[in-house]
Amino acid sequence: MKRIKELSFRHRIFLGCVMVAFIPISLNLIIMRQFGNILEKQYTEDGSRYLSDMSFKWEQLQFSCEEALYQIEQKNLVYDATVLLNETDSNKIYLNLYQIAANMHKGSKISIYDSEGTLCCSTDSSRERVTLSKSWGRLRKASDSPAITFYSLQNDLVSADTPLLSAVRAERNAEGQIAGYVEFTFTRDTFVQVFSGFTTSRMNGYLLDESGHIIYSANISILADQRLLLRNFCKAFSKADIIRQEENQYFISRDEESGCYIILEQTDAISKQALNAISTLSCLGIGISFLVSVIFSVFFAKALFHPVSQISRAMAAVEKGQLDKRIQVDRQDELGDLARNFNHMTKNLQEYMEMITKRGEELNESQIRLLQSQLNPHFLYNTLDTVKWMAKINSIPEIASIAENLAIILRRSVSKKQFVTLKEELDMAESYLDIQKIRFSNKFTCQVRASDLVKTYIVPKLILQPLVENAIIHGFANAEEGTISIDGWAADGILYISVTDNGCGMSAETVDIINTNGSRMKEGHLGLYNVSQIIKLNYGTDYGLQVVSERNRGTVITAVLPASQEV
Amino acid sequence: MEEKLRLDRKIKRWWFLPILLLMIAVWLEACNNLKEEEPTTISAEKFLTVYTPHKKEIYAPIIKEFEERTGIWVNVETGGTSQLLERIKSEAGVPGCDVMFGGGVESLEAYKEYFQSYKSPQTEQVPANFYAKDYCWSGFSALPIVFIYNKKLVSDLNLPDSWKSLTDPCWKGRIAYVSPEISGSCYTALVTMMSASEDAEGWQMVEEFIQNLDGQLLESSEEICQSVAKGIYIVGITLEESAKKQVNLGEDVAFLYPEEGTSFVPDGSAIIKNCPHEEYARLFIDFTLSKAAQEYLTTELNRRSIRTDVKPPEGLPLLGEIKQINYDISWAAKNNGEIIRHWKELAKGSEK
Repeated sequence: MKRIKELSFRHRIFLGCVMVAFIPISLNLIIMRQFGNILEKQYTEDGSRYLSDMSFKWEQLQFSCEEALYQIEQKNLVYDATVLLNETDSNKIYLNLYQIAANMHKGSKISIYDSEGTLCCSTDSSRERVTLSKSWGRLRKASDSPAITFYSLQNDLVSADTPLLSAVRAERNAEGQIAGYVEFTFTRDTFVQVFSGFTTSRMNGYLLDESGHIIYSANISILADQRLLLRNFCKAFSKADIIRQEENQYFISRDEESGCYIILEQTDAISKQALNAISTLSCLGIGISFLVSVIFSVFFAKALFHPVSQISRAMAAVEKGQLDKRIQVDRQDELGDLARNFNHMTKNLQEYMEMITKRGEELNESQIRLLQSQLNPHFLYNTLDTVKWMAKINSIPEIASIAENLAIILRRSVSKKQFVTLKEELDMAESYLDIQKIRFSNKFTCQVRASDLVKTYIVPKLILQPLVENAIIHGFANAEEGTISIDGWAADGILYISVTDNGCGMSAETVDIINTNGSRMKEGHLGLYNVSQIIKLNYGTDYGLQVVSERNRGTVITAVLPASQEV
Repeated sequence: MEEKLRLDRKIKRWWFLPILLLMIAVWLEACNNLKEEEPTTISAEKFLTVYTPHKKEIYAPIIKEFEERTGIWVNVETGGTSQLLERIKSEAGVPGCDVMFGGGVESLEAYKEYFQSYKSPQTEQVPANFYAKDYCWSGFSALPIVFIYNKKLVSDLNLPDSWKSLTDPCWKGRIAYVSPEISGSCYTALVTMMSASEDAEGWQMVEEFIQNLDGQLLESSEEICQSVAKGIYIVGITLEESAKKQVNLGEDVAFLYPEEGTSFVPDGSAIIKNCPHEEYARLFIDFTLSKAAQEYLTTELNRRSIRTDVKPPEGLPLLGEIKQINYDISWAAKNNGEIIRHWKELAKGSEK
């Protein structure tokens, strides 16, 4: 299972095809086998039916004997034949016997013996007047039984006239003593008639005596092996009534009354050679179709896999940067679509990449132009310095102060450093306040409260100035005077910098927006938004600005950021 | 991705279908093969295997009647006496048969170590010389040695009526005889002749007899009666039963019992040691000795019964009326090799 998972796509396709090929092959096998079984079953049923028909015919023969005996008894023929046997009687007796024999099966002969076993009369012209021993053979057997006894005469089967089977009944008088014997003998003709219809090229009927010796066989020449085989079947009858031997099936039944065995030999519906030929052919067929399916699977897997591997290779090339890679497509199916989409995608990718490159180049050019267009800041410092000194010379301290502070602010803002100490930020805020004090004619006072330790903490550049600017511009927009206090303190590794004013305060809406970090910053509060963004970008969303404001009482904006002395 | 997973799961569910089908096919095939391998061995019950050197006309009615009476199925295998005895010898320990039916009792005596002793109740009616002292074999029919002669070639005044007369030069080269090496009955005849002789061992008479044969020996014992009937030979040494058959056929032959006496060496039956169906084998021996079988033997088969209460076949004298020679069967059996060797030496000597 795991192995199958590890197989490549191509091998999976191959394996799948081979497996699918197994379905018709195995179905074919099953169907063939079932067909054979059904045929065999049918054939076996036929055989069993024929056998019971044969048994029935055999019983009919026995019945005809009983009937003949009844007639003989009725006409008192035994007594006539054994006791009064003069010429006229004899004619009458024979007439009756011939009549009775004529109603029996073909080839049936009737003989009557007296109580000593001497033949008195017989419809068989070939029989001589003999005396049979009462203590041996068929008369002994009949003497021991009240019913008809069947005795195989063990004659060869070739001659049509020799009797094969003898059926004798001892006729007893009123005292129970044997008065004579009536014997029926049956020749080959009889059995040909009895078993007619059961002898074909595929079937053969046998009649065997109690000891398993053949009485009659449709097949005249029987080999000793065959005799032994049939005899063994009779012996095994109690265990198996259908026996399979090579390509024949034998159905065996035993007639309880006579003790005789009836065997039906049935040649297989499909002969062994035919069966072998069929299995050889089907094996060959299976082999060839399997081979064909394997070969087909190889090609199929290859054909199916080819476009996929093409796309896969092209993708690998694209991954390495070969954006001009394209796949030759001449298919209209899904795989063709896939390849076309790939081509389309790479083309777009290529165009996009080209666009980005072009834009980057453009950007570089504009930056260069921007840098070229920038003023040299030193020129501004120097100018401001000159302004400061000229103001001092001319005793205009406000101008000197403005120029000095402006220079400081300018230098800080132009500086390339991203992070500065809080002290530097506070200095800059003071410079800014100094300028603004002059602008607003000292309308507000300012105080800074921060310990020296807190002043050493590192903060992003230019975060304090916008807060102070916000306090001045928005807090004291219309006020006569006000107070701004800047406080810095640290607690639990967090640095708090608050700017407090006692101005007009903010609207609740604005406070909300700032505290929830809303993106829709109200016009004019862009500075606060920027500060908040800078802190969040640098330290994460846990940090930022907190605003507490009350109308006409003032506002407290607190920047919350980690307390650290290192960048 | 999800699509692929689902597809994978689907495949996982169905990939075993072909294998399942294949397995079903293989299983069905196996089932069928199993069915064909059903054993057809036959049960050993009520079965008896008999080896017999008898001709079919003898054994067939006896065995048929035995089967009819007992319901035991008899499996007959035929062959020559020595061939069957050798087979019994080779099968010793795992016997393939139960009963050896037929064969001269000297031969049976020689192989007695492979037989089992059984004293049939029927032996009460049988004289002691017709069964083995240790009951290893029982006789079946008595077979006196007789001289058969062609009536047209022999005058009543000069009958070959004694063993001694066979040495008469008037029969020189006209005596039908088979080498005792080949024929059991001729060996019996040879030992009978030796026993009938007046001299100590009987080799004197045998030597003269060999000279009288003049090197003429037949190929088989069956030829003896036929060649006498055809007049090729004048006189033959054979069994009473064979001679009687020729007479009954209406040939111009007659036979007589030698004056000095003759032997009644029977043919017999024996139960094989450790045979698989000993019980049935005993029934069979009982049956061969039974009055019914012995009567059938005399009336239908023209053989002399060994029973005292059964009359001989029509036209034959009673056993007591024939002069009997004291014939030591075990001695004849024991010294078979020695006697044959001596016979060959003498035969070679006469040729020179």
